[in-house]
Amino acid sequence: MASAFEGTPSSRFFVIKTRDYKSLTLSRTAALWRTPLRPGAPAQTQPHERIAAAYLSASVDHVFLLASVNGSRAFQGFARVMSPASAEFEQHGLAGFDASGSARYSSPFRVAWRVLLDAHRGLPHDLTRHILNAIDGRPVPEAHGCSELSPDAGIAVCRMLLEAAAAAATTAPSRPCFYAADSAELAAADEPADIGAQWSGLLARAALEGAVLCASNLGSRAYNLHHALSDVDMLVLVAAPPHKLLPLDGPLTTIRNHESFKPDFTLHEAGSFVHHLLAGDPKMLEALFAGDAAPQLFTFDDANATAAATIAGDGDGDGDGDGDDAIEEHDRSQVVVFSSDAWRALVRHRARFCSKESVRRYVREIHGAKGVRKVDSFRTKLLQLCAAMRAALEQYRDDDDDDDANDDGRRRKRREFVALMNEMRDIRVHVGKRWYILFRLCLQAQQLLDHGSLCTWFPSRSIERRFVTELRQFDAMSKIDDAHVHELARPDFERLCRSELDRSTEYAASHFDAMLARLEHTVSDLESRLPSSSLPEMPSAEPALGWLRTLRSEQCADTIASFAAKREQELHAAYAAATALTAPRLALVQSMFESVLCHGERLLWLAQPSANNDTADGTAPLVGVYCQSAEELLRYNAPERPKLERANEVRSPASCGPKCV
Amino acid sequence: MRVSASLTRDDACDACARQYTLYDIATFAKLLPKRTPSVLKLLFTPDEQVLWQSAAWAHLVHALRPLVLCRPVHETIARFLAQAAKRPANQAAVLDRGFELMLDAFHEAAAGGAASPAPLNIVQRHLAIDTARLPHSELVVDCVAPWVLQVRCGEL
Repeated sequence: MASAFEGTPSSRFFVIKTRDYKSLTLSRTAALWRTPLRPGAPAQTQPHERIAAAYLSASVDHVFLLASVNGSRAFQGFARVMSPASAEFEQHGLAGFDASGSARYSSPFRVAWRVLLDAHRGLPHDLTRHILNAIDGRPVPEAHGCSELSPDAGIAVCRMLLEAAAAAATTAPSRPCFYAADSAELAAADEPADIGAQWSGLLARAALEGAVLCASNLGSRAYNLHHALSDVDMLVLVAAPPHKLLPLDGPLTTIRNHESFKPDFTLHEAGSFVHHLLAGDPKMLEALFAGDAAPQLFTFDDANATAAATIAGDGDGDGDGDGDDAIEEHDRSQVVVFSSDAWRALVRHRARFCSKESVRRYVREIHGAKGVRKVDSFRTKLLQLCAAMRAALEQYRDDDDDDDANDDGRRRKRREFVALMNEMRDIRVHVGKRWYILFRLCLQAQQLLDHGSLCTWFPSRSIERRFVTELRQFDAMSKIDDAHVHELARPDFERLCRSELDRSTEYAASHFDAMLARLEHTVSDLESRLPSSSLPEMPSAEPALGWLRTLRSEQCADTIASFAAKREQELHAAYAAATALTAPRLALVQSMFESVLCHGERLLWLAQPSANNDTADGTAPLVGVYCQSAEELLRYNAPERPKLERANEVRSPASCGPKCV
Repeated sequence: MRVSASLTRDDACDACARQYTLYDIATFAKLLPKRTPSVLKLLFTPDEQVLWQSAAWAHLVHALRPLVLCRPVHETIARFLAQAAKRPANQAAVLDRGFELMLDAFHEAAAGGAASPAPLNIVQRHLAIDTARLPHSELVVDCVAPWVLQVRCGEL
């Protein structure tokens, strides 16, 4: 974790570059690294000599190397230097090190890798662009191979890498764990206990609610649109037992995490899932297609293939993936953490749940309160902040320099500017994330419309993934540090403010308009094509209801049988008691049994109240209490319990014939 | 859920010229906290009027009777009686033997098992109940919800 990081302001940090990820894994295995030699450069400026000098310096605590694979636009990890370069390490070898390159290298030196993220899960440069290297004043991602970073920049990047590694360790377990699982199905899975604590905790919780049918990632991790610091959204489906489905206050439907609880999770009971699925809820549909990748769904023209591959981390840029496909395939297989036979039975019917309604819902979400309207409100707010910032800067420029000489006054003023700048940064982060969501929704609606199917996993080399992930360029942009700003000279401070103002103004104006135009064009295209689509209007109900019926009859067989046995016994006794009645009254009771209690209900009580309620012929109306059949209650009861068809109706007993009104 | 069948009188179908009211247990359980007199009365129906009852119902009645003999229910009935007194035509529909049994039970609960006072009329008898000795609140739903679940699951 970040707290265990030994980097200090007296540490030194160097950026190392490599052509392929394999060199990093080799380095981790061999605990060695070597730097390229620069032809013609003096010995003391050779990278390995500079690193060695830093390592041997008494005033330096530690030396760290921050690794980035060329073309990946990300940092993959960092290592601590443990020795100067020495020929004695040559024998240990680094066979295959940078095999694709032709550079000559120094002797190796010892390193200890602290973090090495997966090839596709590096810390994107976009997330570190706000960190400036005080040595050259440039953003950290612009550092060249073997160039040095200032300690504050180096520490910041290392901490982010540590956080990313911690997130990866807990959110992408290589295998699921089902400890404390109550259900026989999970117990049968018999998985080893090498799991992420979040998934295991949720699954243990879910098992208390019923047999787990499916456990799957949602959100960016399910779409392959996440970055190293993305949070985890989890979906679990359970088949609840009868005592969770039949209580007076209604069946279990959905459980969500508390607002402040991480990770995000949603637990649906099977009935609730079916209800939302049949209403065309895209989230439910996506769950059925989780982990599916169909590269043919994506536009992949040759001209862009190389660029896309480079973005996606295919170091040599030839577009063939160089084995990264295997890593991606592994990641994709982790989207669905667990699926039962029952769940797979429903998945087989998933094509029948694709409908125009889901497309309409995607479009509604884009137009909705959390969609374009939200982005628009962010823009308004950003423009207001820009205006306030501009006015404040004008005022600041007109202020007497003497004011700035006063430490308290200067700190107070700068604190106000920092608050404004941080608020603007926050909004840019929010807007970036919102654009990313909206365009992702567009892409999925397009897939549904074009192919009658969903592809939830965006392949790493797809143009679409590149486009959508670039929208999140401001994600995790950190806040401007008060303390750092107070040390700046007045012109530098003004320059910083103007730079932030210009970026925000440009973002709120031209960038926003361009994005909105593109989005609206896509959505209007969707809307125009929707009426002529071959998709059905609504999902097909029969397969889902049949699946639920089978599931419930298996899950609740004992309860249904027990209820039926009680009913038979009670009705038999009630008939016997009714035979003591007079003929007309007996006819009424019999007609009631036949016409009203003919759907498997239990009759619990029947009475004939006192004579002062008598009707004209001297008999009182009957009063009774019954219980709706368990089978009917379990048939399809989410989220609202179904009403008997004849409820609240005035009906004639069937035996009375057509003359009865 | 209430299933109510009302038939018009028809000479050709005399047996149908009757009414019956069936309460689903969920409706019954939801009406109880509202203290509807006609529903409360079900719990105090005299044995001679009961045509048939299941073991599950007997179990519930046994548990519920003491719970409804409380001050809130007493107050609700007092309001109901005051309204009924203004509309004598409606009194017969409610102020029956079952209602009297309920008042008897109230008296017994308030007097710790002592005999009921000599009846004058229902309103006076109701006013004579020593409410100070009745429990403050009812716990009806806490009792009914588990019962409903057990009945639906066929366990009771």
